[in-house]
Amino acid sequence: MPSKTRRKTRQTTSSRRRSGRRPRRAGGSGRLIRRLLILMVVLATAYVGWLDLHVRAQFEGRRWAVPARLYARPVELYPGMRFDSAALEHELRAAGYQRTAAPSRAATYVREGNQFRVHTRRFQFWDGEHAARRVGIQFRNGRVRGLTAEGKKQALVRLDPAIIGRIYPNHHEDRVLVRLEEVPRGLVAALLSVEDRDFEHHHGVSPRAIARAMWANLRAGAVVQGGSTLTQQLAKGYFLSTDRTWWRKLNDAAIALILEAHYDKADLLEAYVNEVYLGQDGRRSIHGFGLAAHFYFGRDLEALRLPEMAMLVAVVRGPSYSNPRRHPDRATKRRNMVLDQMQALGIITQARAKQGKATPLGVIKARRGTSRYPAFVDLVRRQLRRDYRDEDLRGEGLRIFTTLDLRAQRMAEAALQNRITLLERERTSAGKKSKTPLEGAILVTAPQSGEVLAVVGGRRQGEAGFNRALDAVRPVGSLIKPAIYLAALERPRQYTLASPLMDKPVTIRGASGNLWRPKNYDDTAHGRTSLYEALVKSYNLATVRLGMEVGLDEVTESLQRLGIERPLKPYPSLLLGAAELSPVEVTQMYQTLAGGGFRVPVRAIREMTSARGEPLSRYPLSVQQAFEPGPVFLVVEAMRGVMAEGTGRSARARLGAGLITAGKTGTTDGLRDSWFAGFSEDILAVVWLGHDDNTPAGFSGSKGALQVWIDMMKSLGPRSLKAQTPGGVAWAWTDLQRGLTTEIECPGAVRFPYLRGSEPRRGHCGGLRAGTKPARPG
Amino acid sequence: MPANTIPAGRSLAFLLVSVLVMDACAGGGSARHNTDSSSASAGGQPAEMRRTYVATAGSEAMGSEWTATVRPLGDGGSAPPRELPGSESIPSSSDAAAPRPIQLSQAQNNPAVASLLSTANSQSQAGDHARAAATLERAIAIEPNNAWLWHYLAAARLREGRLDQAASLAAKSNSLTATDRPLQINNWKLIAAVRRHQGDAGAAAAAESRAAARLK
Repeated sequence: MPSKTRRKTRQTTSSRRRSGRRPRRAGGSGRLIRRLLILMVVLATAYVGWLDLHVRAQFEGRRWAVPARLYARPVELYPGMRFDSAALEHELRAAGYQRTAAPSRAATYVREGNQFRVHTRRFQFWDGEHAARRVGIQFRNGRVRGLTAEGKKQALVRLDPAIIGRIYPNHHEDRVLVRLEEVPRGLVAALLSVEDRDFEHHHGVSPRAIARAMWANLRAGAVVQGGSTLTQQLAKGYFLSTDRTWWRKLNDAAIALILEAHYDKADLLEAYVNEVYLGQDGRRSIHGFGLAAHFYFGRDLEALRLPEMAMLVAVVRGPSYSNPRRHPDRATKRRNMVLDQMQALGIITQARAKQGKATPLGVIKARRGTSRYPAFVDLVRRQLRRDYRDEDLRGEGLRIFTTLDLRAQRMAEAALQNRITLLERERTSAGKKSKTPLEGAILVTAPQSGEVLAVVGGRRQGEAGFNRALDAVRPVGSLIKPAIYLAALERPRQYTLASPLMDKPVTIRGASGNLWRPKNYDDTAHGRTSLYEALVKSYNLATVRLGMEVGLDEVTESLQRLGIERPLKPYPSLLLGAAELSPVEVTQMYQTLAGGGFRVPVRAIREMTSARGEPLSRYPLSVQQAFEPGPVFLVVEAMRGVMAEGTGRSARARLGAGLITAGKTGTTDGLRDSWFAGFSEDILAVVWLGHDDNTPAGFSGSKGALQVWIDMMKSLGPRSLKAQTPGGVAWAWTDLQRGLTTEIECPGAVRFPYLRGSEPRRGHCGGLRAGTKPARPG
Repeated sequence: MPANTIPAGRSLAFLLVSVLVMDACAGGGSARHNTDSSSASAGGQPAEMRRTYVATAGSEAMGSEWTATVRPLGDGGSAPPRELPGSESIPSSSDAAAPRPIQLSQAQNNPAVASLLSTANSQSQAGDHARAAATLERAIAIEPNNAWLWHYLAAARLREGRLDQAASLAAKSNSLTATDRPLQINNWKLIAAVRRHQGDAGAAAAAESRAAARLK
């Protein structure tokens, strides 16, 4: 028996020391045996000593901590702001506000149609504490009409933000660690009654339990009970191997004794409650009752009812065997057994046990993670890991204020899900059903500040897993083109928007001698065109010619200045977007364009305070000028043309001509990927659609990703891009066909911006078709 | 990288010097700024609307010529904004009107922004430049294309001791206005001061000359 052996060893050692007797000199073999015995004892002692250190180090290392809280961005309301009552109600509910008849307590609100009376909480923001107060908000026609606080009119009201998740920044996986005080009494009682009745009394190993188990197993003729204590079960997890040899059992017993020697029962129980293996979710193991409560029931541990707690305890003995989702009958049987045992020990009444046994299991469908926004939380984690050391994040209960906009997130998720469903249905009815589901990703940011408003990692809402927004690295196709045109337009003596380009077949000889003959999307050469038109209509041939003229190194440099950090190979195919980037990298690139040439890092975190509210650190708004505003303005002007008359023109039809936006569609070879990147004054969004296994999506950027973007923008109601001509840029009426500036009255002439001094030479009206209307609003 | 520290001691001296310099150069005091008509461009732009704004008391902390709190045009701000920022679209007629110049009056029409500016001002006066910067960022979230807000943020960062950022933000402010001369001058002066402090005499001189050019 393991315990006896241990004690024997110890006794032998100490008794030898105590007696002080010198071993009698016996024959040679006797001496050898004694020497071996001494050696074994020494080794055993050394081993136990090492084990002692190792176990203690591990135990200390696994101590619980209060998780950090992640907050969404606080809603800031002002009169005239575009926001509606439904959106406000969503925010209030997300922040845990209750709807009542009279807002007497903090965190309640009254809603009468478009009128709200909100009793806000006292809240510690990074920049100070806001007292609780009564706020009145009135909406009309989708905007905030009236705003008061304590009866007085307000110019601005900031509501306290919703909690969107709790994380342990130093752990890579979700954990829900609980303090022993937070564990319901019922659960502890159930656990001890079933798994370790003598927990309070034994010293790590319980001979009584072992005897009991032996007796029960003999009677049953099979192994129905185990004799190991909770401490022994805890010890099981201290080495990675899962083999159940007698040597391992010996080890576990030794560890159990060591644990009991160093730590008290409360510590051990708490460790157990957080360590016990309770299930599997794909590659993720579910450890601890806190996480298991979320995994099986979708609720906090404290919110569980008795039969649910009993089920968790039932699962301890065999998480796979008693998997409530795969084997509900076994799980139920075992759960009922737990309830019976509790009743037998007098912990619950017979009535309660009966009631408990009659309840269904109540296990929810597997929902991953503990946050409703796993893709966004993923980004937050990465930024924390990138920018902070472990020590900075170890503080308990850190309060991290993020940039998440709940409304934008909701609209983005809905747009992606609905449009993907629609596209798949269209393909199926056209007889082209694909084996793998169509997937997508969206990133939404604020164009000037770089704050991330929403991250959608896949078509299924709230599902943790492959985060396509951050990790799906795909060829970007025509999304690369603005970088080429930007490089060109930085050379005003050679290129302006009106400069002629030839959209004619071109053959490029690669370094290895092979020939590349790119084609246009419609397989047609369009002949003489202008820089502007070639970008607006996304002509491949003209773009490749331009790119080769400007130089691949210049184009690569332009991409780097735009914010692409990934090394890019300066091959000609780069010009048509053979480069592979993730949606977040594309977002960074377009952020710089929307920022007028000023690079601003895409960020998900605003600031951090301690648990008590002391400000700790802040991500300030930081910009870096990467380009002169002039050339960027010209490229963005062309990107506006994309939305008005080019490949993105369905935006105009669906969003209305009054909403000015800028963007670029992207389609890759064989219609594999469908991309769109575009922005209004207050929203920038990048959308990708495709299949994870790289089979063709089957539609272009315009047909797929752009439509998702439009759907989302429609629901968000963005502000129009304003024409802010930077210094050094002048407008001139231009006949694009001939590449000449003309008088205002010439039909067919359109205003274009130029870097001052680079305007093409003047021409007369002659040669233009009479009655030609300007192509775009002046 | 997130900012963990509050201003270094050396920035205090620099702050005094720069404020003095800029005070001297800009003609000092809470001034009435009139916008001039912009220089003609090839398309032939009409003269800008004249607009004036008046600095209110308490703007000293931001630098004497920088008007921190500005009263909105018209009735002093109690009326709701007659036009919401961003709600106007590009005129669609085919007439020869040039693209409208930056309407700073829009910013001043938004009481929320005015309120945040006032808060930022108080915070700055109390020496809490990090908080002032955070408040200004909230204002920028409401009006991202308001060049003056970016300028104030540059000033706040300057006071925090973040010189590079101060210069970058001033450049960003400049990129958002083609025609607001006083603002451009302020920005160039700020940049010049930063470069001088960083020991880049060449860049400082270049910035100074840009400022001087705008004065003409």
